[in-house]
Amino acid sequence: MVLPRTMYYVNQFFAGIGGEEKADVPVGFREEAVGPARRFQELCQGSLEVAVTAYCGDNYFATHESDALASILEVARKHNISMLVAGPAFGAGRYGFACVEICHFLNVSLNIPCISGMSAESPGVDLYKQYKDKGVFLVPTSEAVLGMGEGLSKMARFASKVVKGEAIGPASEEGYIPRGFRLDAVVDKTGAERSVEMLLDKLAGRTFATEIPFETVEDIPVAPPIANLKDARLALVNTAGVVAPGNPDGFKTNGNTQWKKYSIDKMNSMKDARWDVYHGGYNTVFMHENPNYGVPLDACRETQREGAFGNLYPYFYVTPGNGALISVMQTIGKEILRDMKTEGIDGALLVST
Amino acid sequence: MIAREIEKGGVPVAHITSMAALAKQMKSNRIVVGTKIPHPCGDPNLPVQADDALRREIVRTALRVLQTHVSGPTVFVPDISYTSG
Amino acid sequence: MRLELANFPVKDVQFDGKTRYNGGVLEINKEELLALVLEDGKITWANLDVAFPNEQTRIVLVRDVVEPRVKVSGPGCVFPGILGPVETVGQGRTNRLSGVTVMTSAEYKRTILEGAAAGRTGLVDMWGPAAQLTPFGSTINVVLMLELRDGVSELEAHAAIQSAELRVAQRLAETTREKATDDVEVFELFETDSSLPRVVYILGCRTAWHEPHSGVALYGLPIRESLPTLVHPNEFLDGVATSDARRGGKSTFPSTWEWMNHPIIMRLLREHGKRLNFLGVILQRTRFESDFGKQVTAACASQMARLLKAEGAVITRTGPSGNNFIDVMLTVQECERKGVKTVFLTPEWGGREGTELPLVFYAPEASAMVTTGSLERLITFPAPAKVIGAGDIQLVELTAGDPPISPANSFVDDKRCVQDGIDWWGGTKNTCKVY
Repeated sequence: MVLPRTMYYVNQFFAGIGGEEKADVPVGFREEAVGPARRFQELCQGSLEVAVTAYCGDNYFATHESDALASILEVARKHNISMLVAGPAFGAGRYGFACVEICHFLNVSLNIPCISGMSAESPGVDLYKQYKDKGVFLVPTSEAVLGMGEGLSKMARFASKVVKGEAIGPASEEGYIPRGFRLDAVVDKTGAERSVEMLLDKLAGRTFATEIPFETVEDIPVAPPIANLKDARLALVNTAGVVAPGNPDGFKTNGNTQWKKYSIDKMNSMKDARWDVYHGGYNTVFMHENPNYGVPLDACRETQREGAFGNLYPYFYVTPGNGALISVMQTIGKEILRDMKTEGIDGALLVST
Repeated sequence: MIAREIEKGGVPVAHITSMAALAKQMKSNRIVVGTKIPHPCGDPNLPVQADDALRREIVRTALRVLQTHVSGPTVFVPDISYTSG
Repeated sequence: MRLELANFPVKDVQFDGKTRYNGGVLEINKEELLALVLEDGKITWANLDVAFPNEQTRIVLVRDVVEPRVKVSGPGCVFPGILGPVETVGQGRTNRLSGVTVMTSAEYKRTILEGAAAGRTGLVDMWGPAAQLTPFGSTINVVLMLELRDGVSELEAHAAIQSAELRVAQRLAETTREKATDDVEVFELFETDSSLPRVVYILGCRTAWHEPHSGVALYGLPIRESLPTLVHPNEFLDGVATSDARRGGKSTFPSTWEWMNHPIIMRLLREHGKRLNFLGVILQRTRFESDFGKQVTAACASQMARLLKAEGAVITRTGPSGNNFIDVMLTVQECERKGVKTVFLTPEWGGREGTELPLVFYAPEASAMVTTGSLERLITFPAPAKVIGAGDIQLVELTAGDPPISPANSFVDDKRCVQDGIDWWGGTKNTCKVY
């Protein structure tokens, strides 16, 4: 029986080459289990075989990342690897990053599961959560290398499961650090029952586990104000769903994935032309009667005539905002930005409903 | 979300919305409080001239805001009065 | 206020003979019920069918669902303000037919063609992945199909559909009037041991003030831009809360059936005197259209909880609107600030793959959250063997303005198509887990 072939990655220290003074050692390979890989293989109790150990100096990886990744990938292919294991990196910063980058790269390139271990506070963990690779798993270990035995046991147990093709359950049940995928599941108590239990626990001062953690959105850098508005070119954007009459571009009332721009050239008010409104999330009656509520063209023209600003871009941008996926809106935002830059737009008025 | 991406690219955005609390959490930097969700730039309950004046005031506030330096998400309230919730 | 709910379970439904309840079998005289419905001149065509759990049947153009209940003693009637005079209910004895619903599938010519105010429909699958999303995958559904005449206004359409379904439900429940049973549950907010924690339920209820029907009515009065109201839980069991009968689907408004079988109200009633002291239901109308309105409702709902000397509150919302969510999250925040500890139960967003933010708005005080799953996941609806519905059911438009689907075939869409497919009130065992 051919055992699943695993590649094991360690840094220069765990490969037995040397400490910090050897951190510039380039990528190398040994066709056997080296360092922690040996103990790992034992702990896997014959469920897999470490076919090759890859190693690299922490500094070398940081400064030659794409080369290092490319050669690791090449060797992995050559050895017909079906899983990668890296670390454990404990609290080490550069080593932790390297493990996460290699796991991500090999998972995406070869579609193989990749397992690593590091302390939950390691900076590599944030990167792992950003990547959200379905096939990459980080097992939490201690901060200090003293936890090697336990760290390897956890990794080995997990790897044996993965290599057998067993379905991996939620993070809290399987013991890995969550990537952050929130997936539907069925439990044994109804939501109403769980709510009462949780409230009684909270009132009694007992510990309870909230099912949705608190999260914040990251700040974005402030775009500098327009220095000279009188010369500026401004554009109107709306998520209210004001679109060309007859909806020729097929906007939906919910969950749109496209944006368009429509001409308002030579118009002094939205009432100078006919428009349609597509948005399933608010009562569109008022917007239909007077689309200036969402595209304040009449007011813009008046202020423009007064000399407040230089130029109004002769199109407005639109995508209906109802039920929109965040990732889709981000892509649309980036595309609209690109268009604005091409058109020399200095500032935007964005109306949302 | 769209306001964020445009702003990230260095183009300042005056985000006109009646849901300032939400825009602030989503970290829009320059928020102009609109009237109400179905009609952010105006009020159909007002007589036509008042409605137009309200819309001009909202736009003027937006223009002012595009010229204002802010250090993070900031809410600007145009001079409008509320008739109901 | 002491209410006895007498339970008459239905194991089978047959269109046969006289309309009667006989040992668990509900026999229905179709002609009698259709004649009843057609008394209303606005209804030009009506029919009845039945769908059983596990059948490969899809019911479309669903607008509302009702449980047959009738009051046999005590003041008022079930659906007060609509089927009878306005009178505070929730006392005496009410008979219910459990395990069966009157499910309305209706077709009419809409005058509002799109936007949030337009009539919309849902669907129910009696088998497959969509069946367990809704309570109606497990009930025997007596489908009342209606077509209305041209020229009805939106509000007239609602009234006609609602009147038909409530009268049919009442007629069916009447079959139990002379019957006796031991299967009776008593609901009463009796005085409890003072050591039990005082708990209130804040029911965030999305309504629209400027639409023909606001979405939810109390005693038949559509709730518009009002401030929180205190309601005795028994009142819900007697049908005081009813849904806009033109708007099923997109899981925006829970059906009348869900209001009568509210999972959290039932749970708190059953826990009363055992592990907690249930103070009552604060019915909080939400989706104020400005931050100002949202702040006022949050202040008032939390103040009402404090005046009731509530120590804790279970809080929920209805409607997938993110804007509506803010009203409720602000209420959670205000309660916590006033010393009322909260648990907020809600479905989450999270995008199609569960990689995006689960909630659109956060308050750090919301430390106890219960999730009932995501409302953004797609499911594949398999092809049925039978389709039941009013009108032309070759192509069905689920939401006005969107491309229609062909209900006889398989299609992919999100859970929101399913009537009561989103769990607003914790009635299912669905949740989200982190991977």
